Amino acid sequence: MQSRIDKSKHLPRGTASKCMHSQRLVLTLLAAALISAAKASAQAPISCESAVSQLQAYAQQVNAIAQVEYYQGIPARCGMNAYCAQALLTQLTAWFGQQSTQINNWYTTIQRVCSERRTARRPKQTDPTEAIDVDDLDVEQDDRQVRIRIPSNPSGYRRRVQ
Amino acid sequence: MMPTRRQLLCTMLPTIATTFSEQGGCQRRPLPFCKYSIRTGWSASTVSEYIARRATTEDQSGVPQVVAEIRETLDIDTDFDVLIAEHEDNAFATIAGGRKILVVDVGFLDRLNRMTGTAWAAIQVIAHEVGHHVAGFGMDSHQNELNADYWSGQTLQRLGASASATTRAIMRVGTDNDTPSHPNRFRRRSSMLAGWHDAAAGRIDFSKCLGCR
Repeated sequence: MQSRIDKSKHLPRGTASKCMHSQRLVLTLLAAALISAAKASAQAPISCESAVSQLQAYAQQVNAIAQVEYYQGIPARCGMNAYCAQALLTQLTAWFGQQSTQINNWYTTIQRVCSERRTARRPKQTDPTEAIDVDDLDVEQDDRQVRIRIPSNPSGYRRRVQ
Repeated sequence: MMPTRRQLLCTMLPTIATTFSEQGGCQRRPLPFCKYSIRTGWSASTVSEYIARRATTEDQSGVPQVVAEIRETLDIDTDFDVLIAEHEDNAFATIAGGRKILVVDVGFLDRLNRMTGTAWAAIQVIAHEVGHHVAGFGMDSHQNELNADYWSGQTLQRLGASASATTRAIMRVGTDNDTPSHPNRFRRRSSMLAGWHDAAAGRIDFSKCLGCR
């Protein structure tokens, strides 16, 4: 009962639902814009590196939108109305969580596809006559395992391992 | 090309969403994404380090094993949390949550070894960071660095490095002039050599340690 009295004192009828409606609209539009941008870029075949960069960019946009909504959008729409702010925050959180899940799923997909591509491109070790792909050499360089060890001699010069 | 581990950090997004939902309506905290700072946790702020993982004692990087040898040679029983960073081109020591932390970019150390032509370069950097924890963190950042350099000199001599191998990294990547945070490479070399020669003579200069007395 107490909370109902408080609400009627501070909250004009329909304010929260209006706020929520406009918030939903803004987030839906933003999500649609982001997804359509992602889809447009997904139509052309792209490299793994580029796919990850695009996903990073998308995620940064999601983050930026959430920040703007949190610090500017919600305060601007709700003012001092705590009920309105809480309602919009709940919605923003849900949207952010949904985006997070989606981005993680996309990332997992990219990772899986790229691993498959890499495995498929790696030359067979049993066939020494097979030509070496330059890309494969790059991948090996990138994934090279680094291990730091205490040298066994005072100068610390390392013998090259062939 | 496969995504690097730095990019893998994006998979931490659910953590971020949780952080956001827990913060309520009033608290002004940045929304984190893809960056981890040991000072503030997941953060969207500019001060952040890409931490790839917390190293276990058997970590593939070899860093915890090196730290263990340094602890043994300096006869200290401090526990360190070793965090492996990537694409930072840096290593640093700090204290967070009551834990003594060493952050090391292994790729950077590997490049440093190759640049200097000695595998002691990486060990010197790690020993320097351990040296910060041995020396303690005072108000004078230059003195802190020189103290840490002293302990790295002590460590490397005890581990078997020559004096020239000990100072090669700082002479290769150090600056000619003092910077706001670090002394110039000549002062740093002197401090390392002081530590190296003290160790060779079986001495320790405890003035290089804030809490040793």
